[in-house]
Amino acid sequence: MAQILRNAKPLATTPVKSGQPLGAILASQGLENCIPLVHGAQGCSAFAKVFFIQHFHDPIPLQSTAMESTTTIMGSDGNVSTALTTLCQRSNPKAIVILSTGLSEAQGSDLSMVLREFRDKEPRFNAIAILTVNTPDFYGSLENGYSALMESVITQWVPEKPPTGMRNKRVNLLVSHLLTPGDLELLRSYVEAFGLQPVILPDLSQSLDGHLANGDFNPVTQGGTSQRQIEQMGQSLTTITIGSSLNCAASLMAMRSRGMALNLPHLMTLENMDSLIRHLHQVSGREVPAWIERQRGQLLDAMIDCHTWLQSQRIALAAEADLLVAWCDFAQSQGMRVGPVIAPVNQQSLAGLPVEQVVIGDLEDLQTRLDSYPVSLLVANSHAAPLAEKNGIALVRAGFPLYDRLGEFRRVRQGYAGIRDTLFELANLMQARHHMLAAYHSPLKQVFSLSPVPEASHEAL
Amino acid sequence: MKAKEILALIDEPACEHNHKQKSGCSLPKPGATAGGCAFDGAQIALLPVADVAHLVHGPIGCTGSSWDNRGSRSSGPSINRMGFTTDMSEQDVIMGRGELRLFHAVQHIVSHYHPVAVFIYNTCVPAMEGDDVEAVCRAASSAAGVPVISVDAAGFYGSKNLGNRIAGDVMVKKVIGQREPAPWPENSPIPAGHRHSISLIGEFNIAGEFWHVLPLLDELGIRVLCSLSGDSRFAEIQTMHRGEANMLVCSRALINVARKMEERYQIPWFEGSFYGLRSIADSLRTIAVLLKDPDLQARTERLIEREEAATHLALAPYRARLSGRKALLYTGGVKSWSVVSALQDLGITVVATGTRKSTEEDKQRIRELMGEDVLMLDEGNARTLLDTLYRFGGDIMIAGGRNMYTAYKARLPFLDINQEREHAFAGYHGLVNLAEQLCITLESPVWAQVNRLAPWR
Repeated sequence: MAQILRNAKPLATTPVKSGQPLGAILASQGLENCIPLVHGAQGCSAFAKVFFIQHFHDPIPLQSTAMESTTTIMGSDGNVSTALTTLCQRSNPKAIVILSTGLSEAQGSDLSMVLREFRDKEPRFNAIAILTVNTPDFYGSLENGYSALMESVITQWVPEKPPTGMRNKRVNLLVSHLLTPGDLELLRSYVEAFGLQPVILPDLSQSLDGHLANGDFNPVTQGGTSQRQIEQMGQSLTTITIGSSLNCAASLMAMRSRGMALNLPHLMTLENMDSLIRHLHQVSGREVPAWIERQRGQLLDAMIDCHTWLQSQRIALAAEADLLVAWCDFAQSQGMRVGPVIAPVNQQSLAGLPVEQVVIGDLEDLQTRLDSYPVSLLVANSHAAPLAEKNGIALVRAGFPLYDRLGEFRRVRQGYAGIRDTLFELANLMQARHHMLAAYHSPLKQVFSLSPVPEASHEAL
Repeated sequence: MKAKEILALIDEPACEHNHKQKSGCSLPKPGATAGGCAFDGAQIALLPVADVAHLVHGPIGCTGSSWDNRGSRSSGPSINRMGFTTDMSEQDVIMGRGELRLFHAVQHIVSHYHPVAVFIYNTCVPAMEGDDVEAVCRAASSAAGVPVISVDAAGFYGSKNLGNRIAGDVMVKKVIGQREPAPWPENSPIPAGHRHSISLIGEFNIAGEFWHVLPLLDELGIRVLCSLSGDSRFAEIQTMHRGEANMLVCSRALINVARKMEERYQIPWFEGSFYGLRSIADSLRTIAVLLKDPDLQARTERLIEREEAATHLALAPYRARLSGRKALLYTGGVKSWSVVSALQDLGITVVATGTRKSTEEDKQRIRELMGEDVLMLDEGNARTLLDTLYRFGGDIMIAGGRNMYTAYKARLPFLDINQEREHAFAGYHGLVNLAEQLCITLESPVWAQVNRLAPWR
């Protein structure tokens, strides 16, 4: 059980926290032909757009209600309606997600009411699904915004009573921000291997997997979970939720569906992956395919090959709570010692972490602790690169934003294959840092007056 | 090398096995063999001589898969890691151009790298072709102005042991005795009457582990003229005939060097190791006795006392974690008992040990350490090792690197004790390191996980 250390500082320095709106924007990128509409000043959406473009190396559909000084005081509902009309006319989306920001929340803007009024006024756009989510950035962090969107999707788009009939091949997968598009692709292949049809919510692997499609410009997301799939989720055989931050969303789904539920905090340990595969095997009635058994065997092999490099190595973590849970469990399952642990905000899952202490803080708090507790590895986002270099620590990039490495946005770390390759990566990092025993020069070693042999020539290769 | 020369080398009076079946030197069994060839043996014995250019004469097969794969470390030059080979082509073989190519290869090496000497290793193909490597050496040496020495240990001559012996023989005949030792350093604090010089034979400085021992000898005022061949230099080998005593470390196959140096130069020798408290103490005391210096003996006792006290303290936490663990040890010669004593220092029970290359003396020491009922394994194939381990409920296999995957594929912890390892286990610090490496593998949580069946089975 972890002690949560709250912060007495009057400020954040080199923060790892980002606001709720980013989480909702991120999740909305996994909905098909969607465009998120940020209700706030232009900056929120402009910053968010650049934030995700630098992370995913792809265009990010996003718009703003562009609140300015007058409407901020007098009322901004008009901005929302205008924006909605513009988007519906120009961009032809299948879905729009209206999310609030600190500004609009502070103003007291009631998005549900605005939406109702819009529907009354513009029935011609009734076919376009519109979602409202409350995501003030003065509370919580990216993780809260992401799960808020998930909860809204379920309460606003999944029918309270599931339609009759079961779709016995469908598997709902509610996935946390901790899974990258690469992870989602692997997860999809596991599910399909049992003859099942995965419905991934949100499905970032369809929109932000990083592929060059036909056509040149798209104002909305290229793909993702479709409206029809969402409406039918109540009829699925089973709902599998990955990520503790989605436990609430999982309960909401359970109330709206008849299938069995499985909740896992992550897929970054052998144990959790075995639970997933066993569940798929049970619900599908099919044998576990040979390639999955083989991949599991590869993971076991990698665990043995890497263990001498990882045993007792110290690894620090600074990330959103779902990622902290995943990396903490993973690291300890491989014999590593976890700490310090930095979380941007407190979440329910943190008290249960098997470490002594979790610090609610930023990279400055991490640096303070590293001064007395050096580590070999750090798991954090790209902002931690200067700190890692200064301390001579190897940085393993995870979370958001990852702007200083290509391909990192879709790195596979979950699943048997993801754990396997992560083990190799960490073991290689440890091997590269390993210092061999320093040469000892005896004062009695014979020194002959031979003709001098320049050392440099020996290195010539 | 002619057949009768090979036979002469196989006859080694100092070796316990000499009068009966020579297990270490016997012919390999087709289909049931694991060891290297004579070339392999010669190469591993001499490659650590760090300022010499080692040139392998033959096609790529010999060097291509074996260069720079040993763990011997040098404190200075690294020309011995260049993997020089004449890389003979089909044309060289057919047209008999090997000798000429070899000559030019030596010129190239000397002009580009300026080594102190060049050793040329003969291999199977040129040996069969009848290349006169000795003649090339003479010609190359006069042209280059550095010693060029041939090591004729082609693979098909015999086992790795034979190759070690051939290499040692070349050192005795062609290198040792050619130079007087360098003077003692002027500012040395050791008083003149207590300055001693010894050599080590068969100490290869694996992973730099001899650097855990050398400071102790420095403190005692014992100069190591040469450690043949770990972190050695050509000139050091030339001075070995002036040592007052030789220590044969863990390498039965260079026993001919110790014996011949006793014959020619009256240098007394003994066999010992630096693995584990008892071996370290025995070796240091024996050296002191052979050097006939009572003051040195007294200082040696004080050093041993001091170091053992410090080591016991350092080992205490590890002993608590290792006590009750059982190990299967499969390794060669002297290590079969010296490593046992090191493991016992750590509180580990050794359930069985390999004795394929051990002498009767080694086996007697094993019985003393492990009891009369100890299981001695003469046969070291993977199946036997695993079955023995299972039978005794062993926690870990400790053997040479080639058995690492025997253990790992059977989901068992493993520690590499042979020459490919990366960890230094000699001396007092090395013993603590051994304890640490054992804990790292034994305590890993991966074993519980890999030994569990998948839940759907």
